[in-house]
Amino acid sequence: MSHRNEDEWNEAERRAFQALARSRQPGVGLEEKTVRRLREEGLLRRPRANWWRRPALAWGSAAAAALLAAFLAGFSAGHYQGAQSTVQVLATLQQGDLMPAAARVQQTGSDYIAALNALRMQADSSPPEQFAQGREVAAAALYAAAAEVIRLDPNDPLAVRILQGLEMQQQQNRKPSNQERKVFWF
Amino acid sequence: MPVSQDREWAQALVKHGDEVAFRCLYRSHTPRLYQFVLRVMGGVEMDAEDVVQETWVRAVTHLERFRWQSAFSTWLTGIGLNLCRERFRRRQRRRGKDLEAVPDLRAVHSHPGVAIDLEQAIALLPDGYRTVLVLHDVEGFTHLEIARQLEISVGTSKSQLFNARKLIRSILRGHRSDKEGIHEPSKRRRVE
Repeated sequence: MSHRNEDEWNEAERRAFQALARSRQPGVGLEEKTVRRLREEGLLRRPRANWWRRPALAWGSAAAAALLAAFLAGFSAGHYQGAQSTVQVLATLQQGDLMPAAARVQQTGSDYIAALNALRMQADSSPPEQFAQGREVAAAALYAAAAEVIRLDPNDPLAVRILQGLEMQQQQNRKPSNQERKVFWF
Repeated sequence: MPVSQDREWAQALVKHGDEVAFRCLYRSHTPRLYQFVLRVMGGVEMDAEDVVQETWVRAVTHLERFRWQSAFSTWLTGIGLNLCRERFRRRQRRRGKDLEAVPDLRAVHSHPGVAIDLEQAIALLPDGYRTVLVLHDVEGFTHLEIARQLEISVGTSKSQLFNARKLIRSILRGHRSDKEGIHEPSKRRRVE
């Protein structure tokens, strides 16, 4: 066999390399082990388990999530309802009254779903690229909302699954970059 | 994962030691990092998990210094690779095993009934060859990038890749031949 032949993969061999797995979940305990280690090193602060005793922080996060969801949902549907919700949520926050903020979360959630519904209804009559943009905005809002729910409760299984699902989709859609990669050493 | 999202989580981690932000970063990047490290470490899961944990500790320790001139995942992979190499060197010192020591293919080929796939063949390579092969043929790095990362010359990277490919073919060919009955066992016994 010539040097050249030995040095190059043939088509079947190339396909075999391309088919190799690119990601794999480690053992289930690794995340907790790593978090414990980082806490011991003083690099992480344990989240407050009793976050509900600090309502300002909790409701502030919820309101921020609702604010973002409302804004993005409004944008995707092409009207200004989201912006109005944003103003109302901000006003509620400034007043420091928490129950209305909770109600606003519920209402902006409903607005988000209504906006998605409107997007779906317009799908047939809209250009595909506009619909794709709408979908992307809807997914971004869902992602942001799930991330905020995780901030409220790191162990919320539904929010974690939503984030993982969206991240997996993102990774699948990602195309390899031709740019030269830089690595930093320590 | 969008760079802006990584950056947002990283900032929360640096400024506040935000555990939730760390978990988000961890869950987003660990599956790919783990697969890479596991492959470079020759498929030893326990070693790979240790390296992944150490990678995160080192990354979080130095996150403040990361300038975002490359993707977070690339930076993380570089740290992981560096830690793999530290382990190889420790192993080499302990066992006196050469980074380029070729495995005994007679042992590999002595079980003709057992199929061997590409992943297993990669795991059988000497540490040095395997590292270059994984970086070039699996991860898509160029010889120049590999040379910079491993602090070797481009020529060394090329020659290690050549040797790694030759060895992979030898490992796979031996098994394929056995399975396809190209070498009849009786004839092989006589030759041996």
